Amino acid sequence: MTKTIKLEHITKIEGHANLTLAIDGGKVKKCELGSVEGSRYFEGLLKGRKCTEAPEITSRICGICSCAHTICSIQAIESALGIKPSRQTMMLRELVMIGERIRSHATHLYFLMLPDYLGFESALDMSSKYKNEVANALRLTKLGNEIITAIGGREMHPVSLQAGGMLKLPSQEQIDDLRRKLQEAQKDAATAAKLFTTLKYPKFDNETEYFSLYDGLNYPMLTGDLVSKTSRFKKEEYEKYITEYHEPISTSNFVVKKDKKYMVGALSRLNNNHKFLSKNARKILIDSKQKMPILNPFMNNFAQAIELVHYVDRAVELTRKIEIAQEQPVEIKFKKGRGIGMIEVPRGILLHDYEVNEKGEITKANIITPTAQNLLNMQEDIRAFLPSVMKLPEPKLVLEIEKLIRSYDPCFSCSSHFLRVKWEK
Amino acid sequence: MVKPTVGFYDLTGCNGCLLSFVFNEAELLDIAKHVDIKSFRFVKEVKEDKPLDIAFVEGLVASNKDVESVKEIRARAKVLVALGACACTGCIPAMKNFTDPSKYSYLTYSKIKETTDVQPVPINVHVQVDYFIPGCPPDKKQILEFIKDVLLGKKPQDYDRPVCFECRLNENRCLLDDNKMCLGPITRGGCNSICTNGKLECWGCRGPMPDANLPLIAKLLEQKGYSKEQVKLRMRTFAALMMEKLPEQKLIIVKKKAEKKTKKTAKKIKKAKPKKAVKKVKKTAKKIKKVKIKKQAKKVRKIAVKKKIPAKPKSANTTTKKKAVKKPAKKSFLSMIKRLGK
Repeated sequence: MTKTIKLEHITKIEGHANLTLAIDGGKVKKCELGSVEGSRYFEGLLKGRKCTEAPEITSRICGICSCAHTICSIQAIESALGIKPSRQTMMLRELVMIGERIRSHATHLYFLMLPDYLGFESALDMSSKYKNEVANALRLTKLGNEIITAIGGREMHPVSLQAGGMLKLPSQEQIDDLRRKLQEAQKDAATAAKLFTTLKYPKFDNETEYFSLYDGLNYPMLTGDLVSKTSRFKKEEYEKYITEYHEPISTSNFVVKKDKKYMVGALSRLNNNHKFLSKNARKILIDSKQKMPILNPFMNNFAQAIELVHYVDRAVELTRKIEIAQEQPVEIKFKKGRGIGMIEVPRGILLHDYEVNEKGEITKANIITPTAQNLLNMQEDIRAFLPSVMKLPEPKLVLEIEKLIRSYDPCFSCSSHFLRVKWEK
Repeated sequence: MVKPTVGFYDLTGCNGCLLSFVFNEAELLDIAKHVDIKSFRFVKEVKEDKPLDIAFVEGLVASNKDVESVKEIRARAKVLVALGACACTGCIPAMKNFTDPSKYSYLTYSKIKETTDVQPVPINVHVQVDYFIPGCPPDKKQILEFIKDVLLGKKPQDYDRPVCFECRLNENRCLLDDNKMCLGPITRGGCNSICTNGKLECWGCRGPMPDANLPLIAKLLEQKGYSKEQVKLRMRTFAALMMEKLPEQKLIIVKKKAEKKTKKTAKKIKKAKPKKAVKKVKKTAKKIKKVKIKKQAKKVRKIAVKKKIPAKPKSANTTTKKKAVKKPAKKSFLSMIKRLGK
């Protein structure tokens, strides 16, 4: 007899997704994960707009990663128009990205994923018994917000970041103030890391190709090539390797590398770049005695916790380096061209690809988000994971599956809003 | 005191408005003490189906499922609050209504009926909305104020001045003087001019003031070197549906011939098949197109008025419908916002 399980409205993830499972005699007959978010046609709406308007518009793709979309969009424009932002601008951008990363990781780890492991329905119910943890999470989120607000002007959909430079620079006092707060937060990050690196994650290894950016100097953020264990290519070549296809079950596209699944996100970043971690983060990784590379998708949360420590350290370092010098954004001169922005965002690699005409109007836009890239891997992980939990009663089984989905920290709002498809035959 | 029951819901959107609420980090746990949060899919597992005192809805209606959800939420909620630009004005996704289908028809979703046969519109096209908290994202303090007002039994008030007012108070240099395409003069404030504080021109995400002088700002911006088309595009970005009619939905795959037809014939077609929900909005919108700038001054007020389209339960008889159609020309966005307590 076939047992069908349908998960609608999976909670504690960003956006809307459904999962359909069919199990027959201990075998998985069907496993389909799809986004059910309404479509917003961002790439279509960008056409005909001045490219300088793109950051404001694409920022609205996602509330959680609005800074990421803004900056990715900016870098795509800059690469199309041949603009080189100053070193100070790049450092400020990285700082904003770190702010967003701290906020995103803290929110996901404490509020969306931890309740699963502690047996609570939600972080709200958890707040009475786990006061310290919740307070810790809120402090980190707040810190992230303060960083973004100080530099970007607003905690969501930042306003001061523009192609060519910053519309408004933060004052040196603000930077110094952030440094003090970040130094205080190092303790919070360490506490978080302790909690999440010692959590008992389900044992489940399922190797895949782990893709992240890699520049050979730092833990990746705004620059680098696309790298996995076996391959390395430049961002301009992405179309040769990455194909998008569409399944009727989903309003989101699936992205594959040469017909194969792959994974992006914290785990991939850690697997490929762990040697660039800050001293504190590396120490925690070594102390955990975790073998690298990590093949367990549940351990994505482990990786996020390590990253949390790293990014707070990195932000302290950045705030030490930044000495605000008054400067004007680079003047923008429109010309025909194509530009690709590829950066590491909380959930993996984000790509914006624009074609611009002489008047600076966008003629073609393509956006690939991390969750779209992870979708197939996620689905295949669920398929592989199912047999080990099949004997559990249904509510427990569902929880385990949801845990797996949530470990990816998926963002279905983003994933559903693109793109042109190459049909695979 | 019995805690009011509150639900937070999201339709198609970026989850940013709900996040904006969550970013009240310092007050969050206190809020949880005073209101009973029944549903918050983003942080909470519960699937609720009980009546609610207040329902906050984020996002716009862009799929069949959204239509169902928003109607279902409306049926359960005493007070329905449209949270953020998508729910209030349709925000960026509603721009699709004004975009030539050739620009997006190559995107794959043309294959999914679920999302293509529904026009992207703010939620008040489908249900009656009691309060609007505009903005992309809405000001987090404003959400807090709203909840506070409700708890105190006060009528939540909307901010009744344009962005310029706050921008002046913040002593910013006027961005219009720098020849930027700033929509501050016509846009509803209450955001503490957060964008212009960061030197980004106002994009009008909170929608126009009821008495906004659209032709004048268009003329001013034209003098600054922006083409009419550019200005129109900018005004449409966040709040198109507050200034213009909702066009009949263009199907994605099949390009409608009607596009080429003259305005007159296009109007006739519309007359022949009026969409009930859109009827009223069209009327004002026609005026915008017809009247030239000078003549328009008088009618500007009407243009900015976004009409409320009440939810229509199937049982409602036609006479009430007609009444609803005639009246609301004067019902401004603002008056809708002040409706609490009724």
